[in-house]
Amino acid sequence: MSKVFREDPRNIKIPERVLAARLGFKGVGRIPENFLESFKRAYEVAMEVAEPVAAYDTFEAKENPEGLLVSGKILKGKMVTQHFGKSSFVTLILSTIGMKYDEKIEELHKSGEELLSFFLDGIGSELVEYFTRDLDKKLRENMGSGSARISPGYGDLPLELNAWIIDTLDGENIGVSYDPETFIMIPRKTITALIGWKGA
Amino acid sequence: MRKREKISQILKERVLLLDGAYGTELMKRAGLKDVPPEVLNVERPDVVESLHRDYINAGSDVVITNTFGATPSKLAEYGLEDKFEEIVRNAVRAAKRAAKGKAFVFGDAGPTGKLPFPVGDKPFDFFYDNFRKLFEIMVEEGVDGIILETFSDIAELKAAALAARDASEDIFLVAHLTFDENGRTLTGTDPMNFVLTFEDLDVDALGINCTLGPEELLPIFQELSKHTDKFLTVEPNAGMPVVEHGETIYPVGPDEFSVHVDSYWEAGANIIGGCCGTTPEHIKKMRRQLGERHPVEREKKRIFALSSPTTIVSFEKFVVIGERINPAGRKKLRKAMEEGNLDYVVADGRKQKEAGAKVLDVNFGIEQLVDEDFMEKVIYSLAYSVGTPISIDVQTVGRLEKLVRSYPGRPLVNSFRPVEEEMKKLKVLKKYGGSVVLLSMEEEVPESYEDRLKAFEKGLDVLLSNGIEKHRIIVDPIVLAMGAGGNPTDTLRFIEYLSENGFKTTLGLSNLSFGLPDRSHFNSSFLVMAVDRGLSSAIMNPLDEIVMKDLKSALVILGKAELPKKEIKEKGEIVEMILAGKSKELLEKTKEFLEELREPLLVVERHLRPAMEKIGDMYDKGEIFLPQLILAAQTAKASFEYLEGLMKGSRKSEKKVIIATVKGDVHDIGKNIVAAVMKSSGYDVLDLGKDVPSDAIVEEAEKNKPIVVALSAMMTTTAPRISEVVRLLKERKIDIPVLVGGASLNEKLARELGADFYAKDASQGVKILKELEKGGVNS
Repeated sequence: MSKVFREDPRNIKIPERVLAARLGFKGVGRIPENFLESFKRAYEVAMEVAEPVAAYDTFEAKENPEGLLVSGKILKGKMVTQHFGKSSFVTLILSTIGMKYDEKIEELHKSGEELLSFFLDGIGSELVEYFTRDLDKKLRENMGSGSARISPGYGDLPLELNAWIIDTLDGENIGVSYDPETFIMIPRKTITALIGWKGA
Repeated sequence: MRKREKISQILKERVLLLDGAYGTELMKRAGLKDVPPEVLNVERPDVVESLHRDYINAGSDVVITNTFGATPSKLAEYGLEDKFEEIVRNAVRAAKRAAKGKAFVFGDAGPTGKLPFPVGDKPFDFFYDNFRKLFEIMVEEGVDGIILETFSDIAELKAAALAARDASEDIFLVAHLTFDENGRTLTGTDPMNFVLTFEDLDVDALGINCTLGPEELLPIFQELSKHTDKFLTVEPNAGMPVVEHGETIYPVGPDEFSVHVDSYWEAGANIIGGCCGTTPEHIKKMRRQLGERHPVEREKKRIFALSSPTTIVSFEKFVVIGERINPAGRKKLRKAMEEGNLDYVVADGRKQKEAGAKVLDVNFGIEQLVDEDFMEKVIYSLAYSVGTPISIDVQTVGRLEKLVRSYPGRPLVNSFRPVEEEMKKLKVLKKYGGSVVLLSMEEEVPESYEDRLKAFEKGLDVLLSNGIEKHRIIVDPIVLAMGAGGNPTDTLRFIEYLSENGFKTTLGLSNLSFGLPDRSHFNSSFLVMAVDRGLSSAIMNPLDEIVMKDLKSALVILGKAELPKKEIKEKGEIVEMILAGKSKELLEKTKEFLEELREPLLVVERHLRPAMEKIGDMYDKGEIFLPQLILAAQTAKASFEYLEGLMKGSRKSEKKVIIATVKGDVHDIGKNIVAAVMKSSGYDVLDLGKDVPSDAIVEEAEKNKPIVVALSAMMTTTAPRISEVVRLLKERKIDIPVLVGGASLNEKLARELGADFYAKDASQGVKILKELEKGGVNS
């Protein structure tokens, strides 16, 4: 049974510069005054509908002639060799901010509130990233020196691993599913990730 | 194995952690006031050593010596010049004692506090000599590397880097600039320009430190990372300093600081540390966050451009290189050069820039008659004060070396021929960087196309085999005086050959008409023909209005420059209204227009579409942000819908667009933006939504007969659905073009999937629709 981590969205701190860049205000560093009201509105909606929750678990990693064996799966490729080459454990992470968030983005789009819908979408992308960073940080405090956190889709790490991570961590318990053909995850603001550890 | 190779090898495997601040931390620990921290190297080396040890225990892989302000000139400001050697030797020894071979020791150097002429009053060698003395001692004491921190001027940094490399070929060399929040150094250099200048130099890593906190510094670091494949280092401050109770406080604590490690790693950092306000506790938290990371891979990028401290001139568009700073036939200029009259020469440069020159060629005529230091002052004044990059047209190798060595940016060396006496120039280019004009001639003037080709191939081979890569070579196809029997058609043919093979080109335009009447017309006609064949720049007279005007119109005709636009006054008011999100006012105004014009379509064509077009252009030029474009689309929607409701059915269907996110893909924010912008540009958009099966898209296309089927695919796994739609359309013989976009796509992939067009964003999508309407787009 995988472990579950939850956090109040209001405790997730996203630097303003990051949000500004995500929302299209590149090189400015802050949300411009004339968009501040719309941004605040979108942020408030985000705080109301986001339900950050993550499932994670750590597995032994064994070197195998084909790659690295983790929980019955052989992980292969350049990214695996580079990042997990010397790892004896690998943590799988599945984090999301929930379905309500997607529904709200859709609802705003349908009602013609394109700007708000766009802002909410951008805030959601950073919210799930910074939520995952919080979990990442917590793990490192307990596990010591780890690899970088990498996700399926980075370099040659295939998107198919989304399915394996979601199945392994019982994704449905936290409301995450995937399309078996495209490996796209639902809700949309969902992250899968792996961290390698030398020892645990 | 040399030290630099050993460190480079480790950096290919993992990201290293540097240490934190020394200045702020030592001041705190030793209670320093009014004396520089370097004094402690002599008076309290134990305090310095203990701080090094704290950083190493916190997890630093590299520590830097307490020598930030230890150049002789800086120490002299405190009357410490006599202690110079002791300060530096003790600093390295303290760091090495603490490191005990477990951490690398990098000798640190900060700027002298002086600026080069004409911003300050120091020549290049003032900086070089100061740093050389410092680095000689560091190298003798056995540092593993040298790090140049917090430099705010590109010329001083270059002087320091050359001094470090001259002191040792063995050490790992890191060069940093410091940028303010608008992404420029004190003397105006941006990250891309930093790369242009340093990519050719023998420096191992480039980086940024100080001035900004981790959050503010990140986008500037990302910009730096975009342009270089050298190793990257970064040391943000612990936030922007604030003064509390008379004390300077750096507000970002260890926990908050370490959160940014992920972002810097993602942006390509190979060595991460902290600058002012960071402490061993910051480093400890960073160590935990960093862990044992392999660096991210970055692509090798090459930019074809020249630079001055403040300006980059790319050769993607035609470049006018001003030829007039050349005393041949200009008595007053010659006199000014011989007498050292700098103002006269600079005024000449400024005039050319105002007339349209982007680069200035500088030729001193009989070089022996001109003082060497004056030459450096001319180059510096033009580069810093006029702001244009310089083409250094100097043939005496010793003088050329002096000027290229000290040049504050990436210069153009004019020129090189593959003959024995020119080979010494290769050493200058290899060591000090710069682009070069390769003449397509050897000893003799080329008489034919074949002569040019032979000389070019030989010259190219020599340059490439000496490490001067293609992106640093501009080829001169040689234009000869027609009056002396030169045949310009050979030159034109050769330009075509070079252009087809991806080479940038330049030529001395005025040579053509030497000795002829109506020179401007000869020059102008030839230039237009040469531009048509792909010429990328010319060394020419920008004050010649006939040539410049013809050049401008030729560039427009050939699609190499934008059509000059006439602004309609009314459009400005509507644009303002739309950008301000005044939906109701716009609708009122639309009704007014309708009363006047009677026909809804005319209101769209004369008012709303031009306004949205203008807004699209503003977005393309970076004058407005994406949210402003979205807000504009949202604002204009009501007015468009109102007018659409009044239009007859046949009018509407002419501009129908079908848009959908492909089957399996649920990411639709991009598609939604594109749909909104298209709607607000007067198109009748049928949005089928997300996760739409291919046959449903095709059925709708058959039924509605749109001008285009627009598809969005965000993921690599869903992009293949595009080819499925294309195939189904073909099978059903529906001849409607397919336009695609989305995060996983690019132009090449889009074509491979069978799409007719690729748009990188909404604005480009609308442009394609407009071209399709006109029937003038090549798929």
